[in-house]
Amino acid sequence: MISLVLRRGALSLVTLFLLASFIFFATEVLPGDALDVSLSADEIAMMPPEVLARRRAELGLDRPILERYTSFLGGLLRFDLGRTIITRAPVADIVAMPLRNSVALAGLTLLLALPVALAIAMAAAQAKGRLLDNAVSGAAIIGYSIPEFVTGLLLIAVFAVWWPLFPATITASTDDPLSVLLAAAPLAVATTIIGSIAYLGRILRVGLIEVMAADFVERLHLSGIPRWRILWLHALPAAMIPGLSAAALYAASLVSGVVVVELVFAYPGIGAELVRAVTRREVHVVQAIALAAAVCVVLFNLAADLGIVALDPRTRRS
Amino acid sequence: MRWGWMRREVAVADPVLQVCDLSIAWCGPDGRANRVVDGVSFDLAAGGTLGIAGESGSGKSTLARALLGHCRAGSAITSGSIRLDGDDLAALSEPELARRRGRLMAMVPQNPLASLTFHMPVGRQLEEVLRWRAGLSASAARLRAVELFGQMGLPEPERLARRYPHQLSGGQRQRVVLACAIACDPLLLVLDEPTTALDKTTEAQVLDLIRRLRAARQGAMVIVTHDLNVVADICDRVLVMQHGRIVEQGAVGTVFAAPREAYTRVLLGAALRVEEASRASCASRTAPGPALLEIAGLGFRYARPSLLRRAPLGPPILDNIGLTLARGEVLGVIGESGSGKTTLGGIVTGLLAGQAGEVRFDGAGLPGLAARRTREQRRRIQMVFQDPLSSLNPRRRVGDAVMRPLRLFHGLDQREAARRAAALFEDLGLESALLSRFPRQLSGGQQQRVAIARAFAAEPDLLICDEITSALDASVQAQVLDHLAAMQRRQGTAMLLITHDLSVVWRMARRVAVMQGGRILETGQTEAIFRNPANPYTAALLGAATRAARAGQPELVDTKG
Amino acid sequence: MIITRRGLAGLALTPLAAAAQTATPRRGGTIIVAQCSANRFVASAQTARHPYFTVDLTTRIPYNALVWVDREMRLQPELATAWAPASADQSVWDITLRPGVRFHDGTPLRAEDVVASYELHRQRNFASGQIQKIEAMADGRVRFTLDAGNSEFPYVLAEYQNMIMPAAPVETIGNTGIGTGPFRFASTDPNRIAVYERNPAYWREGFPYLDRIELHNREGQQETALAGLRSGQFDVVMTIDPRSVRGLQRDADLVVDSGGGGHHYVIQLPKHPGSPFEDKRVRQALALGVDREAIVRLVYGEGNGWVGNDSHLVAADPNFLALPRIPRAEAVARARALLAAAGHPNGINLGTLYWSPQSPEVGRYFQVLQETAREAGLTMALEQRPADGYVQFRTGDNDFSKGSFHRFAMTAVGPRNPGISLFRMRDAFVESGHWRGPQHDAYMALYAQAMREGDAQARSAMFSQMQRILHEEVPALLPAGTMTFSVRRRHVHGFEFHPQIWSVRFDEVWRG
Repeated sequence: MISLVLRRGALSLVTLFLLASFIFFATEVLPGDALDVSLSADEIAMMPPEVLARRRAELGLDRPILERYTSFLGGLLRFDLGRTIITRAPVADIVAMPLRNSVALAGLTLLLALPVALAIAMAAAQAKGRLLDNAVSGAAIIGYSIPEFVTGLLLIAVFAVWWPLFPATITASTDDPLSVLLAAAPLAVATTIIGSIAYLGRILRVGLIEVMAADFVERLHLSGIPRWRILWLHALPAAMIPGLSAAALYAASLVSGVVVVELVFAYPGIGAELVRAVTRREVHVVQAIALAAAVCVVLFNLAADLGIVALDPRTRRS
Repeated sequence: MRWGWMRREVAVADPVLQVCDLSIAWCGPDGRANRVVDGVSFDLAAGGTLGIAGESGSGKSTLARALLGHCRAGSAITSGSIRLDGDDLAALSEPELARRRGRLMAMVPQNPLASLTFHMPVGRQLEEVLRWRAGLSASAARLRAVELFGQMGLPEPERLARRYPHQLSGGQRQRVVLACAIACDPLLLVLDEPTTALDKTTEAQVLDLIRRLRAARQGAMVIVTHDLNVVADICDRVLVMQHGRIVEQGAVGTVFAAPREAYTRVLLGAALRVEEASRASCASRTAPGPALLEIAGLGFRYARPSLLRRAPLGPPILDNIGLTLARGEVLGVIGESGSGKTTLGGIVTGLLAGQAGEVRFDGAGLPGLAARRTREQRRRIQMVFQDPLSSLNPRRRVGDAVMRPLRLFHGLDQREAARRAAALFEDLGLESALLSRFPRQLSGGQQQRVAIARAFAAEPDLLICDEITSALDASVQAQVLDHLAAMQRRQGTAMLLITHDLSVVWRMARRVAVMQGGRILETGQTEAIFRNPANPYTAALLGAATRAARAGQPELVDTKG
Repeated sequence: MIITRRGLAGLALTPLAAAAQTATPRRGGTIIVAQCSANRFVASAQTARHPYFTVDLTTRIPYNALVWVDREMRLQPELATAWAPASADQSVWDITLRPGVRFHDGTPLRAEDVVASYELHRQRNFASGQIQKIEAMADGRVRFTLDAGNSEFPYVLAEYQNMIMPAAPVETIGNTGIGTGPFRFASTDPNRIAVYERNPAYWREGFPYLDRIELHNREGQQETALAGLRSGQFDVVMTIDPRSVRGLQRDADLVVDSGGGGHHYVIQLPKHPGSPFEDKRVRQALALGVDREAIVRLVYGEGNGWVGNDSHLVAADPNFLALPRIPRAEAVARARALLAAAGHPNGINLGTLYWSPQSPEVGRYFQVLQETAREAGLTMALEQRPADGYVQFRTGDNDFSKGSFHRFAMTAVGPRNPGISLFRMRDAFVESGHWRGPQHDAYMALYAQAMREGDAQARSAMFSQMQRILHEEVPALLPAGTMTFSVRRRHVHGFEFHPQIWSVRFDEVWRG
C-alpha cells in the first residue's frame, strides 16, 4: 500500500517534470513577445527600430531559448517562478492570490454541488426510466450543455438586473478575505454549481444505474436487505469508482478552467489572470499558471487513484 | 435454527412449493411481449430436490428468480401462481415479498464473484444478512458468521471473513454465497448454476456440501443448471425446459435412463461425451511433425510486492516443467485450478517470463516477455482466452479486432483485410454481418469464435487455448470445438489446449499432460491415460468428471446423500 | 440620448472655469466607474500606482501632465501655464510652471520634479525619445532641448504616460502614486481596482466635487460592466462598443456620451515591384471604390462613426481636410475607369487582406469594405490573423532587397495631433507601404517645414496641403472610423468623454 502511494507519487513527479518542459517550449515558441504586445500601433509608429531593439535586450527577450530553459528549470527547483517581463514583479506574487481564489471557488462549488448531485443521482437512479428520472436527466443534459457564460448572464439578468437580489459583478479585491470575496460572488458560485451538479449528477447517475443492475445488488435484493442499505452501503461506493477519475479531472478543471465564469462575473481568479497574461505575452505568468493547473490535475488524479484504491480492494494488489 | 413464525411442521406429503400455470413475459423494445416461461406447473415437497435443466435461453433462470417473487426490470408474471408456504408470491406486494426473502426463500445466484459486493469483506456481507434478516445483534452475527463459514467447510473462517471476494477461490466464493443464502434457514433454497464456474474437483466438493446441507435441512431445494451431471448427482426429480416450456419431468433415474423426449437426449448426449465422443473427426490424431515447442526445466514464481528491488520470490507456481510439442500436434494440459496450467500458457505466449529453464520455439530460444520477441515470433504464437469479452475491446467492432492482425502481420490493406476477415468468419460459422457488431452484441459462443478467428488471422504455428469453453453452455461448447478443430486441421496449427474439462481433451487432443501443484504428473496418449490412469490424482479427476455418465445406473446415484 | 458638447469652455482661463452646467453642482459622494478598454501594461503590487501601469486611461485622476488636449484636440494649460519655443527651428522649448501647486504629500511642485519625471519619460515613453536634455532654469522655468525641430512639441507634454511625479531616481519614480491630481490613491488592487479620495489641496480651487472615485477595470468584459451599470453597481462605464450604443439609448436611466474622435484603421498598400498597388491608379480606384459611408452606416450606425480621408488624422481634428463627396454611382464609375486605364478593364484581384480582431467590430468592418470594393471591380480575399504575433506578421522586413515584404493588412490608429499622425506616412514606416517618389518627398518636405513653423495657421495650411497630396496619391487607405462612447447613470453630472480616451478628467464630475 505504501509502496503503491510512493510509486504513484514518483510517477506524478515525472509527469510534472515533463509537463513543465512541455509548458516551457509551448509558450516559448509562440510568435510575438511581451514588448510587442505592450505597445500599440500608435506607439510602434513613433519608436525607432533601434529603440525597440534596445528595450528588447533590456527585457531579456533576446536570450537564446536553451539558456531560458535551464534558468526556468533551475528556478522551479528553487520554487522561483521568475519575474514578469515588463514590470519585473515576482510572478509568485501575481499568481498566489488568484490561485487561492480559484481554489476557494472550486472547493466551495464541489462542497455544495456534490451532495446535491449525489441526491439527484440517487433519486434518478431509483426512479430509472420514470418521469422523475427523465426530468432529472433532461435537466442535467440541459444544465451541462448550456455554456456557463449563458447561465451566468441569465442569472445576472434575473437576479441582479431584473430582481436586484445579488451583485451583478464582483467589486471585491483580489486579496480580500475569502469570506468577503465569496459573499460578493453568490451568482458566480451559483453558475459553477449549476454546471457541476449537472456534470457530476450525470456521472453518478450512470454509475449508479449500472451498479444497481449488478448481480450483487440483485442478490442483496433477493436476500430481503432493505433498499436504503443496498443503495448506500453497497451500490454507492461501487458507483463512485468509475466517476472518481472523471470527478477529479473536473475538480482540477474547476480550479484552472472557470475562465468564463471569472470573466462574466469579474471574479479575481487564476483563469482571468491567465487570459490577461496570455494577451500580454507575460510568458512567465503563463508558465506559472499552466504549471499550477498541471499540479492540480496531477494532485487530483493522484487523490482519485488513491480514492479508488481505498474504495476498490481489487486494485490493492500491486 | 428456525424462528417463530417459520416453525411449523410440514407434512412430508404436503407440497412446500406449488407452481401453477406460470407464465413470465419480457416486454421487447418493440412493445411486443415475449414469453420466456410458458405455462409451467410443478410441485415440490419438503425435503425434495428438484433439478431444472435446460440450455441458456430456456427460461430456467427467469423461473428461478420468479420462485422468489422477483422478475427483472422489463419482465413480469403474466399468469399463474407460485404458492409458497400458503401464500401466492405472484400476488404479494414488494414489501411483503421483502419480508419473506432471505427467511422463507433464498437464492444462490449464478456467478458468485459478481454476486458478492466487491468492496466489502465477505464476513460483513454474511453478518449483514444475519443482522437484518435473522435479527441477530452485531456481536452475535459476527460469531454466527464465523460458525457458518466453518460449517461451509471454509478453512480458517475467522481470517477468511476479513477477506474480499476477489481474494477467495471460486469454490470458496460459492461457499460464501451459500452461507448467505442459508443463513436464515429458508424453507426454499434456489441454486442457480451453482457449479458452472468451478473446476471439476471443486465442483464435486461443492456438490458434496450441497448434498450435506440438504440432508441437514427440511426445506426444499431447486437447482437450476445446464449440467445434467449436477442434476444426476444431487437431485431426486428433474424438470427439463426448452423455450420456456417443460418438455419432460420425472424422477432423475427414470428420465435419465429412458428419456422420452429428443431434447433430453441431446442434453444427455452433451454430458455423456466423455464416454462416447466420436474420435474420428479429430485431425490432431495425424502423425506429429518435428518439434515446434520444447520446454525444459521451466520454473516460475511470482515476485512478492516490495519496495526493494531484490524481492524474495513467492512459492513456486511452476516447477521443473518439461514438454515437447510437435508441429501440428494438439496437446491437452489438464489439472484443477491452481495447478499452474494457466501460468504455463502465459509463459509460452509471453505474458509472463519464466525464471528458470528454457523455452525453445522452432529450434531457437524464445525470449521471455512478448515485448522482447520479434514480430514474427509474436505472429506465430497466438492465444485464445477463457473470457472472450475481456480480451476483445468493447468499444471496437469485432471486424476491426480480426482485421488488425491481418493488417499488422500480413500488411493487408483495408479492403483485402475485410475480405479475409469475412472469410475467416465464414470458416467459423459466423455470418459476415456480425463483423460490424460490438462484442457485447454477440452471444458467448459467437464472441469466443471471434476470438478464435482473430487468433487464426495471424496464421499462427502455435495456438494456446486457455479454458476456451468453460464459460459456454454444453451445446455451444460442442459447436465452438468443432469449428476450432476444423480450423486447426486446415491450417495445421499446433495447439496447447489448457482446460479442466476432460471431455474437451478427449475430443481434441491425442496427447495429454496432467498437472498438479506446478508439476507435470504424467504425460502420454490421451486414450491410454483416460482408460488406465497411472497417477491417483488423474484417476480422481476422471472420477469427478464421469458421474453423469453413470447416473443412468440407479445404484450409483445416492440421492439421499 | 447622446450628448456631444462642442465649444467647451476649456482650461484656458486661470483658474480653470467650469463648463456651463444647468444645475448647481453638489459636493461629496462617491462614483463607481468601470472602464472597458484594454490595459496594455501589467500592473503589479509594486507598480499599480505608477502612471505607466495603473488602470489604464485614468491617469488624470491622481496625476496631471504639463499640458492637456481638449475635446477639440487643442492644447490647454495644465501644470504648465505657458510654453514657447526658445529657438527659431522649434528645437528648444521653455515651459512656465503653474505656481502654488502641491503634491498629495504637501510638497510644492518644483522644476526639479519635472526634470526627474522627464528623465523617465525620455527613456520609456514612445513619444519622448526626441528629448535630448531637460533643465531646470534659474527662473523656475523648464527647458526642453530636442534632437530636431518640432512645432507641435507641447502635444508630447500631454501624452498619457507623461505625468509629473515628485523627483526620485528613474528606477523608483512614480511607485508611490503621489501626484498633483484632483484625487489621491486610497488603495489599489493591481489590474483590477483603484480607489481614490478627494485631494483637498487640489490646485483648481473648488474642485473636485466628489469625495471618492472607485475605478474598476473591466477590460474586454463590457457585458459584465454593463450588467453592473444596470444593476446599479456602477455609475459610469467608459469606452463601450459603438454597436451597443443603440440598445443603451433606449434605457431611460442611462445617458450615452460620445467623445468624438476615436479610432480608425489603416490598410497598408505594399508597393514593391509586382504588387498591384505599385500603380497609383489602382490605389485611387480603391479609394473611390470603397463605400466609406456604407461602413459608417453598417458597422457603427449613423452618427456613431465618421468618414476618413486616407490620412492618419481623425475627423475631430481641426486640421482634418475631408475628401470631396462624390455620389456613389459616379465614384464606382470613376474607379472602373481608372482600373481600365491601368489595364484591368474587367476588374482586378488584389489578393488577401489580412486583419486581426483588434476591436470587436473589425470583422464586419472589413466585410463591408470587401463587398463595396467588389462593386467597383476590386476583389480581395479576407483572412483573420491571431493578435499574438500580428505585428511581426504585418510588418515583415522593410528591405525589398532581402525579399520579404510587409503585407496588405490593417491595423488600428488612435487620434493624435498632426505632428505625430502625419509623420506615419513617411517612407521609412510600414504603414505608408513604403511610399516613395517625388510626391512623397514633397510631402515630407512640407512636414519638416511645418515642424519648424511656429505659426499655427501657417502650419495648418501646410497640413492641408499634405492631406491633398495623400488624397491624390493614396499611399495607404484609411476609410472610416468611430467615435468613443461612455455611458452613465442619469445622476452623474459634469462628466464628459473625450476623443483621446486617456484625456478624460474627473475634476468637475458630481453626483445629483
